[in-house]
Amino acid sequence: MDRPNIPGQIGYLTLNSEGAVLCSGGDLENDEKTAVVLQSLIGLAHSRLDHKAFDQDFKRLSVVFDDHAYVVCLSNRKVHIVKRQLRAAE
Amino acid sequence: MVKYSVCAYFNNQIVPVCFSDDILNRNPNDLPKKTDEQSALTRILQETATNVIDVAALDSHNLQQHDYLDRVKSYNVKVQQVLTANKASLAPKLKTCILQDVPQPDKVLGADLLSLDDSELISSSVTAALNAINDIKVDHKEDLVVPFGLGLNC
Repeated sequence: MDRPNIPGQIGYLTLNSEGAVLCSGGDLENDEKTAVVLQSLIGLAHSRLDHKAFDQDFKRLSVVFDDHAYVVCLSNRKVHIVKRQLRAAE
Repeated sequence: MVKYSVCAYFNNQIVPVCFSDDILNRNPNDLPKKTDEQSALTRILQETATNVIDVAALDSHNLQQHDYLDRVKSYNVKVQQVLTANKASLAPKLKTCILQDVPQPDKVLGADLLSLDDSELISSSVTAALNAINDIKVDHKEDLVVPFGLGLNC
């Protein structure tokens, strides 16, 4: 794997600014469906939120399920998506 | 010199077939015709040469490994320049993005996830809000359509 340094990581995706998959691995290998969904989710979140209520941008978007979570962040004009396994204790 | 021309009478039109000058020039010496032919040939050759990419000739340039690396470097620099110049037009999707650009993605991605308590709090408040919204009812008391001015007229 290209980026093993995140605890509980079981898959990753890196998208460019146009939504194309640059690299991927683990559970999310070539998972363009997830890429499209999460990409549109950050656009949707942007259009739904009242910007007057927040005076700053967000650093991370998390989609949390019972046993796993997708975390999305933007860096260097690339969208980084990591799928993380949640520990049972959490 | 008397010029004459051979014409053909065709379909009520006189069509010239050949002129006297041509015939006179052609017969005495073939030299001018030959040079014409050669210049035409060289012209064809030149046109073909400009239109054809000669792969074998390209090979003779023989780029060295470091030349390739230098080119890769300079092309990358150029691409970066163009990208930064057209940043706005190239990333329309990211313009409508809720996320801000962070320098170290691993740090943000690796940070602790939402605690269970917090997510439970969020779920319960959202459920409560949803229930509240569903509870909104219109309490119908009066007629929606009320006749105006009827009392005055009568």
